[in-house]
Amino acid sequence: MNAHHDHEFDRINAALDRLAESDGAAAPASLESNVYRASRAALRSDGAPRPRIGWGLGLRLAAAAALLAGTIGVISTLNRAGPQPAPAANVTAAAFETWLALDDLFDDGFGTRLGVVSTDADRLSQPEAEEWDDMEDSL
Amino acid sequence: MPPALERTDPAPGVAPDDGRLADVLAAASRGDADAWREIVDLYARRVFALVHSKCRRPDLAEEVTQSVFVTVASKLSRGGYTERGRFESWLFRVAMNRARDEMRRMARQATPTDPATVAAALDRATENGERTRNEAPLDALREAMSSLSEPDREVIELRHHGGLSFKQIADLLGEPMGTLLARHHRALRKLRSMIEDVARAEDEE
Repeated sequence: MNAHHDHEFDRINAALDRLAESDGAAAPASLESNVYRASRAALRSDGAPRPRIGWGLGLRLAAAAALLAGTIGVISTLNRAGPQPAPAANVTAAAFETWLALDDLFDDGFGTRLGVVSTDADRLSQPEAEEWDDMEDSL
Repeated sequence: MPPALERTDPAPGVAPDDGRLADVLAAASRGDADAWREIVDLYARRVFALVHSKCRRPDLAEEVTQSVFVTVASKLSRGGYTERGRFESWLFRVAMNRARDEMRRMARQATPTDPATVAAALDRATENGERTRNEAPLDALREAMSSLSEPDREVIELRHHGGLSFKQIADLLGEPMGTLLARHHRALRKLRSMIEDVARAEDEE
């Protein structure tokens, strides 16, 4: 089977081929069927590539949930802790901290998108913000 | 289902058409049972021969062969292998590693063999009458194989038992082609020398 250029080794090559054949012949006649049966289950049958969802995403989601729960707890505690000089500032600071943590966790831009939504929400809740003033002035 | 692959045994070494092989592998990776059966039919005996050459135990060789194909099926179906014309190198790398692990587990090491031992093996084979004339020289050759260094022996086994081309072996072992050819040449020379010593000893008797 081997087209070795060196004819001086033809005989030993042929003997090695016979040896390989002999080793293959040591297998039971049912080898292929046995191997097929043993390995068939390892093949999928749905045809679609398996999504690679591992522990990484799960852990990130769990960490995000824990951070959110913690932030809500902090906000609740601050709100119950009597009169605060500037509760809104505390709430904003806590939300910002959560924000940074979420942004780190979701490096695929999710944090950034969430940031845009949050900023928009803040603006809507503060109609006295400068932009509105400017707009009113311009009218 | 892609067109049927032509079996290469009992004359391994002739690689199936790369395009067809790629089609069959793609079908198998999608869970096509017939395609997987073709892969098994094409390569199982070659993998078995390679492993059997190392361990000389048919039961163990079959067990290792099965585990190799389970690994390959699993990798294929998970997209862990992309066909780039190197399937055989990959398959036999898995087989070699698995066989090596098994040998290590069994703490079985090749013992140096001198021509006298080879001759004794040949005598035993001839005397007990159970072996045919063709099998006796194979026993001597097998004994001679066990005297080779592990790297030399691997090249011989991948070439003759696995039926791989030198390029495939070079890919598999990650060695330059020149180094590989030199090693193969050296191994053949050693084997030939040992077999000739045995024949000479027989002539003198």
